[in-house]
Formats: sequence, C-alpha cells, structure tokens
Amino acid sequence: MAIHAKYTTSKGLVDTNKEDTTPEFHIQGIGLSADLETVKAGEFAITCVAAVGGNLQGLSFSLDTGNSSVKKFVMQAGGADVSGDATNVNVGGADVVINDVATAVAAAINGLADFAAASNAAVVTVKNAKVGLTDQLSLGAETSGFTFVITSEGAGSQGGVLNTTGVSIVGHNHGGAAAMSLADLTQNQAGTIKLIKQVHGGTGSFDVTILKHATSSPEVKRFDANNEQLSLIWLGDKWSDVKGKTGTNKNTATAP
Amino acid sequence: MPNLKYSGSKGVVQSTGTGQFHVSGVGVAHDVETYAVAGAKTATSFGVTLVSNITGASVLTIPNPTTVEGAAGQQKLVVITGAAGVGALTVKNAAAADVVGDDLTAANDYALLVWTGTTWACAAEVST
Repeated sequence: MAIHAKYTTSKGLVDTNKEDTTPEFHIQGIGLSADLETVKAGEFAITCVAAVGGNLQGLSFSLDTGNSSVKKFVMQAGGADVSGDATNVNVGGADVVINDVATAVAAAINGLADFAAASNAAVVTVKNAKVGLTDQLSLGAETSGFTFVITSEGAGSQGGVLNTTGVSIVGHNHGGAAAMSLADLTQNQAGTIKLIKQVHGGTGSFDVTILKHATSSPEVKRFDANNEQLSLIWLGDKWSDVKGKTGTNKNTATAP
Repeated sequence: MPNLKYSGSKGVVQSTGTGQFHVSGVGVAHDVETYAVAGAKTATSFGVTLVSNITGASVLTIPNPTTVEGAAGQQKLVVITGAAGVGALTVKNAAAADVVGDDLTAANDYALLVWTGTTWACAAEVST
C-alpha cells in the first residue's frame, strides 16, 4: 500500500489512508506558493554647495552601494589630499562655484564601478550599478553640508543576487544600468519555475545574468520597460525560457 | 536546515539536511475542474481548469488567490480539451483584464499563469 499525503486548509498535511498502490501528494483547495521579493537599485540626488575659503576641505559623505559596502568620499578644497582609504574629491581649490563642485563630485563617484553619476548644475544624480538593499537614509550627508534626497533606496539581496525560486519584482528602474544575477538550483529541483517582472516605468538597462541557460552560459536578459517579464524553468542543470510553441512569447525581457 | 521528503513508501519524513522540500516518485497533484464555458465562467485560482467545450465568444475569469501577497508563485493552468473551433475563450483576471492576450480556441491550447503577489502574469501559452 502506498502512502497518500494530502494537504487541506482544514486539516493540514495528513495521510489519507487510501488503500491502493499509487502514491499521491495532493494539495487541495489552494495553490502552492513560493518566495516573493522586490528588488531595486538605489538612486540618490545630491545638491552640492560652493567651496568658500576652503570650507569644504576634509569634509566627507558616504554612499551605500547595495553591493556589501559603503563608499566614503573626502573633499580636497585648497588643502592636501586627506582621503586616506576613502575616495578623494578634488573640487579644484578653496573657492569654487557650486556647479564646478558638483562636476568634481560626479567625476569622483563615477570613478567607482559601484555607481554611475551625472551632474546638472548643483545636483549630482547617483545610480547604483547593482540592485541590492541600501540604507542611505541612515548615512545621511555626514559632514559635507550637501543635501541628500533619496529617490529610491535599493532593495533585495546585496550585489543583485536574485532568489532562485518564486517571484522577483523589479520595483524601481532608475533609468541607468543595473546588474542582477540568477544562480543555479540543484538537479533534484528540476521543474522549478522562476518569474521575474518589472513593475516600474523606468527604461534603464536592468540586466539579469543567468549563470547557466539553455541558450548560452551565461545568458543575459534585459528589463527596460514596464511590465516586461521573464519566465524560466530549471531543467536540472540549466535554466530555459518558458514559452509556448505557438501564440505570443510572453518573455518580453530579451537579450540586449 | 530541515529536509522534508515525501515518498509513497514512507510518507512525509523530515530530517536534517540542506533545506529541501522534495516530492519523490510522483508529481505534486493539484485540484482539477472540468466544465464547458458558454458566455462567462469563474474558475478557481489554483490547480488546473480543463475546458471541454467553448460556445461562442466566452470569458473565463481567474480570481485573485485568497492570500494575495502570500500566494506569490502560485500557478494556474487552463487547458482546452476538446470542441476545437467552435468558440473563443478569453482568460481574464478579477479586474476583467485579458491576462493572456490571445484567445484559446482549439483543443490543446493552454495558458500557464503565475501569480506575482499582485496580479496574474501569463508565463506561457499555446493558442491556435
């Protein structure tokens, strides 16, 4: 006699004691759910101030990468480079107009692979290069005297690592480039379906690198529009797109 | 981490391991409902719906799962099993939006939906 396991919302998981030789694992009355995560890449706006009489010399601020680190920046404004292990921001002198300070700040941030930065007048926009949880709010502006606006904190596992199961929602696309990755499962998890979907109107290049995929290893799929999605099935040793042989291919996130 | 393994000989056995939930020897069985659709019909939000016949332009509504966010990843399969070519079935969500984009019209047409936590997403379809 085979054991029949049956889950119901009223009794939980029980042995139904059916006396036949065909085993059964039955989930009755509900669906089988999986993990849900929302991932975002951090986006911040820094409004700089002018350097007057060397007032910015040695002042600092920090940025959360969402990639398991916080990067510190120290300004040089007419004095010596005192950044030490941090990143030096040479604003070009003791007295520098605000827009030039912003230009120098953006250039220093751009020197790190964790960020992309651009200045527009006094404002520097910072976009993290990987999705992942940030806490820029706690870091604040430190001693810099700048004003930080958090357009979006990052969310998800550090370094853009997506859950290998369930649903991943791209909840903020900052308009630049950001990286994500999808690792392997094990052989006995064959049949697992993974869904990734963007639910934000941003048009930046949010690329997910799938380490092992039937098309190529790695395979890259890009999310750059609202409602784009990617469904994958784990074949036991690689991921493959889920799609019908006719009809419309629902995998609207495609190779860049 | 606990491992949970079902097999037909031992039932559900929990042991120390690497964190697996393993159903051995059989597939996971879900509820299956079968009916003909003429006009409008509301399906369950889980398992498999087999549509044996379609009359005219019909609508099958897939409601939201009971636990909306907690049901993320839940799948719903709609399959046309017969009566090819006599109707067209539009699969809609609870907000009356078409979730497939193409109508199901012939035997073996199907739509596989995945609940994102807020809405149904069509992962795959065959429509003819």
